[in-house]
Amino acid sequence: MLDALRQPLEEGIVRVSRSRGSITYPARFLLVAAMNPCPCGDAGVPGSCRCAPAARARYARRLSGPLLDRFDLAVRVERPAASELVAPRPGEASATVAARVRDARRRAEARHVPVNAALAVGDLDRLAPVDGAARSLLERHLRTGRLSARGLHRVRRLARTLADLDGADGTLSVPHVTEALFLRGGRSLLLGEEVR
Amino acid sequence: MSGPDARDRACAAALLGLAGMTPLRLARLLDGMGPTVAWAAVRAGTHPSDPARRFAAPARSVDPDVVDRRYRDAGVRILLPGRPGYPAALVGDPGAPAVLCASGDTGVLEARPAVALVGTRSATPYGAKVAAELGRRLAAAEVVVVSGLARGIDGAAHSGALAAGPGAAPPVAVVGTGLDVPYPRENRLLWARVASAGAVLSEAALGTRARPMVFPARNRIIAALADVVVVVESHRSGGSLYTAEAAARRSIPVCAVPGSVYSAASAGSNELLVEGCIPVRDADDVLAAVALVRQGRGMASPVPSRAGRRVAPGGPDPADRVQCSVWEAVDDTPTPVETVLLRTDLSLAALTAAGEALVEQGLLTAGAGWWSRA
Repeated sequence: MLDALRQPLEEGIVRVSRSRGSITYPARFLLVAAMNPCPCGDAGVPGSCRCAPAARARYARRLSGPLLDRFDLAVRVERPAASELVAPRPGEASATVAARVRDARRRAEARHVPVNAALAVGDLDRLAPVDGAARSLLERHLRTGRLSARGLHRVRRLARTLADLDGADGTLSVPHVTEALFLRGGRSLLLGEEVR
Repeated sequence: MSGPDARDRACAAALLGLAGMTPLRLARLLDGMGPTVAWAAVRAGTHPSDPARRFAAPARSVDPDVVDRRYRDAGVRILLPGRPGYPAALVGDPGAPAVLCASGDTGVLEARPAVALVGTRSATPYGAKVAAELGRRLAAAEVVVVSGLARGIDGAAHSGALAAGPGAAPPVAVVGTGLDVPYPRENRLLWARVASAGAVLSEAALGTRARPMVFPARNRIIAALADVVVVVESHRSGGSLYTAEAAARRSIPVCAVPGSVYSAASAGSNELLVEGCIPVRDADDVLAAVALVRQGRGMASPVPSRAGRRVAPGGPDPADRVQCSVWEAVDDTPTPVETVLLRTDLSLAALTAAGEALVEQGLLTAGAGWWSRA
């Protein structure tokens, strides 16, 4: 069922084919999903997960690798400490965040795309160039298998957006690239990477 | 006001008081740049460490001369690294505050040994008695007692040091609030007496109120000022264990006073002893530890971290403040990056870049969204 989302995620359309012909519907959407890290839900805290490794692997396998690879952001939500529940820190106002997002979207529109996720691979070198240090960092991640080829393009688009949110134009440098790698890397918890 | 030094102090005070300023942000703004130059750059929105210009607008509504007058009216001096009055023990420390506020005379710290007496805020009568006695006897032996003016052990240690009478070494306190905000209220009088006899230090701007985050941070300053740290009484996850951990990272010996195995207030300090810290029964035991440090024969002190593991000294280049602060915030057990983010107050971009560099140097190992010390 979930894997049926792969085509609309990739192409932004739903195609229904029957014997009489096929019809195409527009389906460009933003996919937001939530799940527990394991059946007991405690894998987020070191040493407290009570699931057998096999049970955790089974649970994680319910999401296919190709589907997971299409998530650009995977943010782990920590269980808040008791002190934070009693006296929460004041967060940033939504209006401030909204203004920042509007600003970043305007920067993307200046590149003639609705959002940076739509940047063509061929345009990345021109619109999302990376500096020397960031390039060797990405190469290291590719070499060690921590980053796939599809992931590389996605990380560059994501780093472009993170830089846009910071109001930084031009060449991407190490901090925004490591931030993008980290935000994408949250998926590895679900891919069954063991936490030592 | 006259002279470049005075202008630097005024600009440092103005930077310190900007809304949203933290010790780490301040250290980055003043890294390799004098306060006067940094202030002008922040105001102009051209400071390389403030690319988002978050401090530019607030800075434009602040006049350093007015801020400076507030500090002088409050009798608070602004101390800068490398300038007179800044404690020599903090020079070269990876966590040294870029700007330090002082009431009283920091000169008392020079040419005298210093011992930090720290412990729980909810002290038992036993703990309070030991702290007061250690404070009095150490001060009488010309040792500066350093503590945090908190309830419980801290207050008892300071009271004891003041009770040693004339001729004794004056005490020094490091507090988490602004120097015009005595906290807790019941220690107001004690606070004033420590300031007039010795010195009260803070890295917080005038007017800064008590917040839970500031106290673990100031504990590193208490540890860095001391030749020896003594944990008198501590619960299993007490704040004074932060002080012990900060000391161990600096290769400063940690002593602990043994307590009853049935007392929850001694669970943390007894644990330190099991881990191999130096047991002390009285001031003589502490003075023996101080003498060994002063002779350059420091005692190795394995100390549990917050996670209960041993911490070995050694870490990133002390000149790289961002890497140092990330290193300080990562435990020996896997620490979620989100937790490190809250502890360091860095942007996620700066944090992940520093973390990647530490992984490259082999100082951290990275898991799925976790870091731990290698």
